[in-house]
Amino acid sequence: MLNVIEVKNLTQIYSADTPFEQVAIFNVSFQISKGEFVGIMGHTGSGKSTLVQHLNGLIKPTSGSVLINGEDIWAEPKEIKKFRFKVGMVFQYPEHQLFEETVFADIAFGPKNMRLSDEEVEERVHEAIQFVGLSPDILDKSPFDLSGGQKRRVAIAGVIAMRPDILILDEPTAGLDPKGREEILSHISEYHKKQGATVLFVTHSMEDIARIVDRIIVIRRGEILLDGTPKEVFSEAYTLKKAGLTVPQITSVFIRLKEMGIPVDTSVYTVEQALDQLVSLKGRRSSY
Amino acid sequence: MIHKLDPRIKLIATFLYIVAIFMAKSDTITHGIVSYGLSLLWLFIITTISKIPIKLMLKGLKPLLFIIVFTAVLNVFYTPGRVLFEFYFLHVTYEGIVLAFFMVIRIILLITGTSLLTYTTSPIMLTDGIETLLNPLKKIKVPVHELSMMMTIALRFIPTLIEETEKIMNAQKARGADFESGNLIERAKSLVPILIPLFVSAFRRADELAIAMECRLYQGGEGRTRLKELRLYKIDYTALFLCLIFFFFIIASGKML
Ligand SMILES: Nc1ncnc2c1ncn2[C@@H]1O[C@H](COP(=O)(O)OP(=O)(O)OP(=O)(O)O)[C@@H](O)[C@H]1O
Ligand SMILES: [Mg+2]
Repeated sequence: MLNVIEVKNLTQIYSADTPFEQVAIFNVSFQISKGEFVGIMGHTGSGKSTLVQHLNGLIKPTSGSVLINGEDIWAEPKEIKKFRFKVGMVFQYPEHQLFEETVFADIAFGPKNMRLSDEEVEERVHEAIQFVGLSPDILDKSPFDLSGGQKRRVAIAGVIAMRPDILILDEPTAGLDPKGREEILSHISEYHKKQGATVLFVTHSMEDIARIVDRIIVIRRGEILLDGTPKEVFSEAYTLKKAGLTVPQITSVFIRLKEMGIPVDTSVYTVEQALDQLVSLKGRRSSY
Repeated sequence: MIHKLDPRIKLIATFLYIVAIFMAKSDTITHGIVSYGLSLLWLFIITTISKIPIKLMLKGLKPLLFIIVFTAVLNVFYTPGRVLFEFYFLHVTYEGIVLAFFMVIRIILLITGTSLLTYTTSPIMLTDGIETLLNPLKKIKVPVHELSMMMTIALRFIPTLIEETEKIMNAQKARGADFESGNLIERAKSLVPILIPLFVSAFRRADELAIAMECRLYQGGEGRTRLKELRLYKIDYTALFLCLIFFFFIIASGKML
């Protein structure tokens, strides 16, 4: 399968050669293939944001390279903008970047920078606002008059309107209530399915992503600690704890059960899976 | 050692130093050499005591290089006097060269001398020092405490704002904004997507800070005690005394020679 993202021996050192030198990313390599939905997890300060900002050329690697669709993005530094349109990036607290007078104009900022025709821009704005689950009435309002959750969605729509092949979201659910979180997750999931886009989702909450991603990459102190399917990753509960992360609640319940001597499989991470296991366990018990 | 001096003493010393440099005479070469030589020596001694690397001091001059060169050129060409050589309409005079030379030294002395103050004193100490020095002005209803509090807050938020600007710039770049190309008007326009969010966030922060301060019952300077009281020690008086001697020498050298 084609690797849309390929990162080779990436290292990023902030303030190199000064007393404040800080190795944020150290010798990281990985590949992501087209259409994958990947969760990137790690403790605060582990280097998640730094890592993903390399993928659309906002940060230049100290060493190593980043390939998008097989092309080295720094081969032609003047052409870096091309990759910014291919790789859409939603930042932590994206609502802080709103600036236009109307919601419409703000969402249109990206598409306009792509030099699309006015009709095309209009179509994309409408599509994007639907994707994030807001009503089109909102388009004429000032973005500063919206609620926090609405602002967040407008900001995400501003990136989705560019229809990036690769969508990166840096903790898009931080600071939202559970319902708002759930909604945003499902909209992103929908974008992933409908557009066949590759999605990278940065978070420190396991519960957020366990259900929707195909693969999880765990970062610890600038290096990859674990990389695999949610099932594989959550079965390493002990390693995760060392990285300062918690496993989903249901997983920790099962780990405790196993410690108590009950023969359960600890790689469950959803309530449904847990239920299945318990039912089958009960079946075995009663056949004694 | 310089780092630990009372900020008030350092402020007064810097003030004396600036006045001395402005009063230093360079009407004849001997005058100039004596007074500027003295100032240079003084600056060198203090720099050495405070253990600030000379390299760092010279680095501070870099952004002002243009002004220094500009002043020098103006002085060389526009001082009337004995013409050394002519170049179309430009005349280079002997007096011009001398004046330019001393002018450059004067600027360098001023910049490095004052930057020594900021290198050895934390911004908080500085504003504290300024506040206590200006305290008498309260009698004529100057809001000294409020002004110094504003200064402290402004200093505190400079790094935060820089960080914020960087974040917003990255976010807009990710949406294809371009700050580097285009003509002057286009570039100015491209700043709008940065400035508006920056202002919005600055106001938000100001609001939050005001609320946080009120929650801790801040109500201005009246009766407020300090974590660190400024107190003068023997070393502070010694330093002040040495400064006065330096000041006196500079003035005297101008009068006597
Ligand atoms: N611009 C910068 N200059 C210097 N150091 C930086 C810079 N940005 C990040 N760092 C450092 O690099 C390390 C990784 O930071 P990064 O922001 O990538 O972490 P993160 O995993 O995104 O954390 P969080 O979950 O808090 O967002 C941190 O130690 C941070 O202090
Ligand atoms: Mg981050």
